Amino acid sequence: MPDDTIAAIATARGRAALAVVRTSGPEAIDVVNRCFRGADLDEAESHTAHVGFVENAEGDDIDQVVATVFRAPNSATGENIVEVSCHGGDLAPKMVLQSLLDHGARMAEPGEFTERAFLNGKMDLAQAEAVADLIHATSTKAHEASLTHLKGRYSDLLEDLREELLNLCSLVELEIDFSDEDVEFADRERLENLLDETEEILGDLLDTYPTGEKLKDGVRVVIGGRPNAGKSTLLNALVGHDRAIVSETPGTTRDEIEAEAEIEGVLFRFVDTAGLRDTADEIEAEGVRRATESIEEADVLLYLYDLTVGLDSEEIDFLDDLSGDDSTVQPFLLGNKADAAPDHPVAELDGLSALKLSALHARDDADELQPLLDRLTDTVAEHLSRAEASPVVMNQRHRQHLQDALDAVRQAREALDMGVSGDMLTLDLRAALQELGAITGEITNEDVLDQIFSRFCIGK
Amino acid sequence: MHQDYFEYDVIVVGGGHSGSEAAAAAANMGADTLLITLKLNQIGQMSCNPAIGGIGKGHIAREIDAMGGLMGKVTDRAGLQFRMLNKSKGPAVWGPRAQCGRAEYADCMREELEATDNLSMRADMVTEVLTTDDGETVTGVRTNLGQTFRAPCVVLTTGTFSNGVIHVGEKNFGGGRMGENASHGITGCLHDLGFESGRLKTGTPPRVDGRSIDYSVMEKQPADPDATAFSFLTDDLPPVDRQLCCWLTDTTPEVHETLREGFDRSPMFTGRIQAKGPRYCPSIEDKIDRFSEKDAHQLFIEPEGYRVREVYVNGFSTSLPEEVQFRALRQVPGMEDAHMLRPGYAIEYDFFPPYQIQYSLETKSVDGLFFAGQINGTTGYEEAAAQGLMAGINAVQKLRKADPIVLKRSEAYIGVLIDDLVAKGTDEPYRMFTSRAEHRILLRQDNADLRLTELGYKLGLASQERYERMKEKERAIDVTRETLADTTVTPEQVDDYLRSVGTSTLNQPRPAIELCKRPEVDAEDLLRHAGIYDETVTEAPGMLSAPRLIEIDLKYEGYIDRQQDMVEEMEEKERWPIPDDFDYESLENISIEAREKLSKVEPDNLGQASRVPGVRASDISVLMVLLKNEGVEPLPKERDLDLDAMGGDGQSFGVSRETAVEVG
Repeated sequence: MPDDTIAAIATARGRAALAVVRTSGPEAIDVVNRCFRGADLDEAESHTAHVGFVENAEGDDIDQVVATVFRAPNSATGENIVEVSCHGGDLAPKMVLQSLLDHGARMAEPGEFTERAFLNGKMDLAQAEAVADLIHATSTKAHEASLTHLKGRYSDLLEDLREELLNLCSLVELEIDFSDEDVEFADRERLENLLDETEEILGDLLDTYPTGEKLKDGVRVVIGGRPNAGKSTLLNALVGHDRAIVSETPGTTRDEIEAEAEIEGVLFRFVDTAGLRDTADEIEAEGVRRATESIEEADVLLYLYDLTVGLDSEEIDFLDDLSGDDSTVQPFLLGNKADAAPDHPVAELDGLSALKLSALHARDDADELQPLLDRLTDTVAEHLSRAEASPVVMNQRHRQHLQDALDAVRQAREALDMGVSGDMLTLDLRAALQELGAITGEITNEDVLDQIFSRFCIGK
Repeated sequence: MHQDYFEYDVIVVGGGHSGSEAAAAAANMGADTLLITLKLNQIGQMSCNPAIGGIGKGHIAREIDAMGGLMGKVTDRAGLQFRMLNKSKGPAVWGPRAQCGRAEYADCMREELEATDNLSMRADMVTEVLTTDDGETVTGVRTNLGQTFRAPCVVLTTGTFSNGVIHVGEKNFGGGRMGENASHGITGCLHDLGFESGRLKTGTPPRVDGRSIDYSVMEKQPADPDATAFSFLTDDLPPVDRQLCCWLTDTTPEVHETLREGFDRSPMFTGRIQAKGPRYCPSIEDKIDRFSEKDAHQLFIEPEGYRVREVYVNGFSTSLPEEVQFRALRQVPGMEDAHMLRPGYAIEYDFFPPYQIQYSLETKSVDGLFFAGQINGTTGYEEAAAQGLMAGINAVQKLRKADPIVLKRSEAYIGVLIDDLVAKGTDEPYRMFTSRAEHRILLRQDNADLRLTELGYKLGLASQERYERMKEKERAIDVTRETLADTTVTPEQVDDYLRSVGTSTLNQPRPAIELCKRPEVDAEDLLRHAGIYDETVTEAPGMLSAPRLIEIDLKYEGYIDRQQDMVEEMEEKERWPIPDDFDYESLENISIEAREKLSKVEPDNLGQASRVPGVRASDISVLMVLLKNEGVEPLPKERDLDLDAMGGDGQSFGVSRETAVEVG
């Protein structure tokens, strides 16, 4: 156990009715007791709240507070914790914290409470990572998914998987190390089934990564089109404030401009790009090159064109390419400036969803934008329903380990088909276990033997 | 011959499997060695079942032999029946096993020791380990007869004799084996030196007069024509028809019922025995209790020798009252008239949790004092012998002022064994399993000599003859492999054979080596069938033909390569040394549990540190950064074995004296 006691303001800065200053460590109760007047916290039972005053180093009252005592190991970090609820605002929490520091606590490093919880076995690595994700969650849905991880559903799933693989491994090891015992061995069909199931679970879990990635990092929506199609105006309408400079001069946006907005609980990252055209201006040409790259990396492309000008043949070819089967971008065609061309219908292209709008009006009229917002949320509907149904993989590190585990399981399955012997088979099984172990905690040779001895009668 | 009766280089206490190897290794490496054991006629005694080897254990026995140890040679001489276990599994997990004559084994071991130069023996009980006044350096031992013997290195191999207590039902009494006294004094003396001890338990079944058994109702288990010898120096085994058989039978629900009647008088269940026994070698009462759904447990009848009729009832280990043992035994099919020569019993003994030893098996707190065998918490003859061998080697390395020899996990089962003991410790008697060796694909019993003989030779332990045989084998493998790669076979030569083993025929001539890779193909048969055996094969010494040796590497090439990659990845960490006085407590960035465990274990390098339970991958990353910051450099990949630098004290170490008692 760490021998020092840490403290930090646990609530966000800014105006609020209440704030919480938290302290954790072997001395947490003593530290608060030294500057708390109202009850003797030394005598306080775990999970009890006490009203009183916090004093500063000079002995003057700072604030009336509620101190809640949690005794080790029954606390969030596994150490003694006191949570001091004081009044909110800028001053009171800072002064309370200062007093705790003056009375023996040390300022906590970022993430240190979580780290202690992790070190004391209060959460596993996946949960600790979820706490970090939760703190950094930028949208409601990402928050919900992190919470699912934190509650351990994700860990439970991985734990089950690990258990299955450990089972498999111990069945095979049993055959090898105890073949001269009269223990019954797993038939190959059972091994095959177990491997198939494992492969399926891993595959399903990996399939959730695009969802996790979108929840965590947001959906990347690139706004593209010819110069002066109204792209920056649309961006400003979508994010609700003047993020991009709008002018009548074509080619005003030379570099990319990014802005975020949460729609229906999902984070969208909008990217305004330089208008696509052949240009002699070097800087603008670079902007066009970047725009093309951005479109390739986008989840969604909003392709804007001016209804009063129409689409040219180059644009039509470009959009045709994008709506092909092998394209990873989902394109939408937007006929802009409906205000100036109320009678022009939006162009119809094969396989391309099209919409007519006025970006200019949309800034002040929410209804004008609604059809577009609906289509945007539709693009992630599948992901959202998946995230509600099961835990999703949100972390790149996890994705890599799961992928490697899946590869190992597939290799084991092939080996089984080829009739490869058990000692070789376990090479793959152990590799898979090791990958999962990197997420949930390691598996040792002992774990395999423990499994064998607990389930089979060994020793004739 | 030795000059001073009371002065030696190395003193080995205990003459079991561990002590014998320790004494022989030290003496063969040139150290003046004294072996002190309670009874000289009990040297190399098999306390439990009369067999050497098996799965995992067979690997260790082969490794001991490859280094120049005794166990393989003695097993080949004392063997009654030889088999190769796990033949249906991959070659990495084949395990040689031999039933041995109990008396023959002990006799042969004593003979080997008596033929060893530089080795003296004494029948006595060591009661005290002597040290300098500060208790930090060993100086010798004192015996029950009051004599003092001095040496800078002392190897303790006390087995089950340290404060041994034998239990049969409600009776219990001091003893190291049935009919032999326990040894007392050493534990107390080690406590005074600051060592912690614990208690372990093991057990053994009743012995029965074979003439009173009806074998006609049992399943016969004959010798195996495919078996190979244990020693790489042995060329032939006794003909299969001259080897003895084992027999299999099963317990019945009635047997279980009778045994249950004695449970209230079992020292296991009444709590009289507190120490932990091995989970993989439970007593029959434990099996019935824990796996009550099974209504039969296999029993394995092992012969005790060519000249005696006594048999060992493996699987019936028990400490129930003798009368219960007897009634239950007589209900076993084939045992209705069994005459019990002596009852089974449980034995509790002292061990010293192995976090107290270094990887060299030298204790951390007393310079020059080594622990080997059951004293470190292991069980099994092979595990004990392996530690004895390494303790003997490292005692001499210490005298030579040379680096200790620590075998790697990727190099030998012996490396796995010692690493497990030191890094992880054990709270039950530790036995080897192949599943403990994560690199087992590389650690085959047939290539133990290729892995270890050169090292044994360079250390001055393995003999010239042994080394040359290994080199010859290596050459035979290389030459034959090249020849097979250069030799093409035609469809006419091999199609008949290929068809007969169920693999596809050829449509054009192919290199012979490619066909040997096919799982269905037996390389030897193929080459004979094609009529090119003699022209392509350069024979290897030992019991396996060159094609047999090669085909294993060929067939599992992909897996062997992958395993090799894993080893290299792992060994990256092994090469980062951790300074002896490293202060883990000051590391704030690693978990508290890891700090505590690492301080206790004191690993030599990062790889070892990573295997200490409770240490996480992230802790190792922190440690590595720290070592780099402190300017620590990774060690070279090869082990430093500069023999010229050894023997600085003017002693004539470095020439093998491995003796050649005729084998086979």
